[in-house]
Amino acid sequence: MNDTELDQLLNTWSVPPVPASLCARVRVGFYARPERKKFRGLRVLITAAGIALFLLAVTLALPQTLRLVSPAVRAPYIVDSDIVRYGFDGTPSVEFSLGSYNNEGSEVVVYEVAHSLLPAIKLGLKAIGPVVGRLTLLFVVSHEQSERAKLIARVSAGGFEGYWLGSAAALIDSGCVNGPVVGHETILNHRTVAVRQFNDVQRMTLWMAPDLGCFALRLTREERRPDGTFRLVLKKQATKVTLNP
Amino acid sequence: MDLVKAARKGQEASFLHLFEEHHLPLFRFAYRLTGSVADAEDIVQECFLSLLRRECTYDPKRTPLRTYLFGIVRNQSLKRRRTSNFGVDAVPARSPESEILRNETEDAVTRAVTELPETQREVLVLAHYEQMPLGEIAQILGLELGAAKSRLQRARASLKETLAAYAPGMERKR
Repeated sequence: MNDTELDQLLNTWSVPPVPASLCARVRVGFYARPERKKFRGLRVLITAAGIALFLLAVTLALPQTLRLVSPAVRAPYIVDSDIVRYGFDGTPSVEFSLGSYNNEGSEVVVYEVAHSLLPAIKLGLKAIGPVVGRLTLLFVVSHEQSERAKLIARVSAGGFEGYWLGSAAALIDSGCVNGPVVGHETILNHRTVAVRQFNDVQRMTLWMAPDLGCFALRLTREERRPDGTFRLVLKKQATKVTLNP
Repeated sequence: MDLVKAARKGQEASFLHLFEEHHLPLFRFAYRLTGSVADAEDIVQECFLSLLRRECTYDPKRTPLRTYLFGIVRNQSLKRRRTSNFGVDAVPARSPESEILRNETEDAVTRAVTELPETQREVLVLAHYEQMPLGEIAQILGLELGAAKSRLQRARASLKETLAAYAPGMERKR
């Protein structure tokens, strides 16, 4: 038998027609498949809410134990601030939201929310951040932490970014003037003195409020361009001051 | 827009377009591997629905859709064959007498092909009945090109021997 003859023989094997039910079954299957996408957002929200509740429970339970070990410090005020970073084209994006206060010249952050997280988690954290922060403040910031913070003045810019401003005591004693004064301004009903610090590559301007322990209600950091002009890189702006939280 | 992507997003028209384009050869392939209309129907349904699942690994950049779908049908058929006995559905009887001889030949061919070792049968079905190039067959079966070619040669040689009595001009000897 040659190849052609074999092919002719093989061609006699026919296939029954496709059952009419196949198309209907496939269509039914198409509509019966699980609609995952619709619930994905909901699932993330539920997870975020679960995490938030867990954090709240831990904050409520654990700090009370810590409190027995070291006496807690109560913040005299909390300033809510946004940290805005600027792109090369000047586009601003809010990177962090902070809640903090100055403990005799040095900033103590009681909550921090990163805005680069997934939107649902971000929303969850944004909602719970201030609550957890204030609870943490009531129970967790120990006397030792408070004393350590008094030595060096530090201002936070979100995440791991922060700037040292020299001796905390010297800053307070000088009425928040630790560099050339470039202006005065009232921010959120608090009088501030604007002080500028600079080096070869950048300059920083801080609007510090003497009645808030030299808390910087506004801060700008600018980088020097090759032509000598400055480009705004980062801005910290207070949005709310809560006294005796 | 990619039809598979659109179907996954819930566009029925895209899904039906894919179905219309591919279901016939897939059904033929499934039937010739399993010998059962009911099994072939189940397999083809599963094949299309698997495309919609989240865990579906289909990547159009790596594999043409046809190759991917044939691969699913092949795997599903193997799975079914492991759990059930292979059997060809009864062929509808043809009434005209002229068809009797044809039926006999068809039955013999069906039997000969289904009695081939599985590895040879799937290559033969794809190559002969689906007219698929050996490169694509090798991709579907996860074989080297050379292996696919030698399996096909062995299958054809075996069939020539089994069906020798049915070769044209041999009718009188049967």
